Amino acid sequence: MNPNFTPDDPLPGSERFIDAALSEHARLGRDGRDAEMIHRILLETVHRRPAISRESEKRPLIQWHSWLAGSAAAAALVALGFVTLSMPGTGRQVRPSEELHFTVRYLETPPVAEKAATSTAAPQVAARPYPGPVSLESPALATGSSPGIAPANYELITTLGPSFESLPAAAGRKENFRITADTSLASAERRLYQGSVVVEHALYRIEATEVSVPVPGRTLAVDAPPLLASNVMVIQESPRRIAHAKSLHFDPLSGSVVLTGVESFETDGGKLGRFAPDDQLVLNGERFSVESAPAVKYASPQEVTR
Amino acid sequence: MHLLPIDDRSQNGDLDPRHPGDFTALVERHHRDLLVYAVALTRNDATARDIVQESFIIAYEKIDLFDVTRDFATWMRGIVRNKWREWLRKNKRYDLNDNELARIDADMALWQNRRVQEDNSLFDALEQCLDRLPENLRTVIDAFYYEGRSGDEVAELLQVAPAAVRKRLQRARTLLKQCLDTKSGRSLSFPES
Repeated sequence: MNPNFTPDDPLPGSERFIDAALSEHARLGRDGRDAEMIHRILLETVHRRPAISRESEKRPLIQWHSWLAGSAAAAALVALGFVTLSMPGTGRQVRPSEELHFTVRYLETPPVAEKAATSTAAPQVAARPYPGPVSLESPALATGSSPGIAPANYELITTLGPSFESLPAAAGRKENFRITADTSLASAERRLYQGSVVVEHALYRIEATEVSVPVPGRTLAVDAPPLLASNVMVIQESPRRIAHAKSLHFDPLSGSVVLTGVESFETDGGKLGRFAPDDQLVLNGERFSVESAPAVKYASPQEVTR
Repeated sequence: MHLLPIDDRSQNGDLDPRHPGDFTALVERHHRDLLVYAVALTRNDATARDIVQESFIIAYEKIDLFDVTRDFATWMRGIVRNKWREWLRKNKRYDLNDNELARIDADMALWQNRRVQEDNSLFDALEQCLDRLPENLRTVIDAFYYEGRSGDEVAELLQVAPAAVRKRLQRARTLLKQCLDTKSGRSLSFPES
């Protein structure tokens, strides 16, 4: 609606419908959606957590035998929940919500120190010729670079459930998530959450159709890609940002959310809608960057003459 | 109240709003039409968004009252209308008379049905109608609605009197409405208010 008109303007009813259609068409475009409003609606409806009853605070203390029976029942329910979750292909009737912790532990020296040590080495003045055969086949496209990952110099410790343990001595980062989904499946290597999956993090809220994480335990990071999601909407409250993308992965080393197949990206400053399929949108706290797929250089089979 | 008879048989397809996943899909499907409806009623963008948001929340909370054989969009429109009346009572705003409300209601119902049945949205048809506008009217519509200029700014831009801008806007809206009525397959005749 044009802000210069007020609701008291005597626009006849016959024109109000077309006036409204023009205003919303101008605001949303032909196929646009009001992502922010939808997000708020879904937060208050299908994604709303049940309110915690405060009545229990007013009740008198319960008898010890009631407490014992209640505890036993609760323990049985928790055990049943874990058994159900660990059975592949088992769907749940209620939306399970689980806490997940990624802890990054450096195996040797942290990458920053390693890089510093490398930079002090003597400069390389000559390159040895490559003795092997040279293929003239075009190499496959390089996969997108995820910021800051130096493979195999750290391990990823995935834990489930509330944890009050302090960080391991050599740990670099710890990231906590709460995942809520309609169903969850488990295999030997990964857990898969499906159906209106919501991942809550201190900085981001991720809504996706599918999310997978490594099973709890210690794994080398290269062996176990951390949180992966598909068909995602990422919402960041401060600063306010909303992104839609085909897929997402979380990099626990840098704490970055890396989106590929980005469809749109809204910030307080405006909306970005033109992304190449290989572009990566990296969100990291207050910073964000758009990284294009690295250019692939081919060896020229022609001898270079001057 | 002379509301037109509106076909409110279920247009929901396989979607059952009592299921959270389906409710999400219905929010995605209907929110834009309901926003147009709410803006037409309130003529205030922020209020319209609040009303549509609250209406979906109320619908979700009272989903057990929804008759699945009826049309979800019609039900939602009723909730939006009730929220608008509530807003009118609180804010003492300019109200629509019954005929005007009936006209807006019928237009909205028509386009909601067409989108579901023929995948032809109001905005698709609007773009086609905009392309048919005479150039002088299209310029005014673009400047006023799509560039967000005030009436005085448009007048200054086109070097015409503000009254001429209002007249052109009125003429453009009338032509667009006629075009949409033609595209919707029926031309409604209402008693003029």
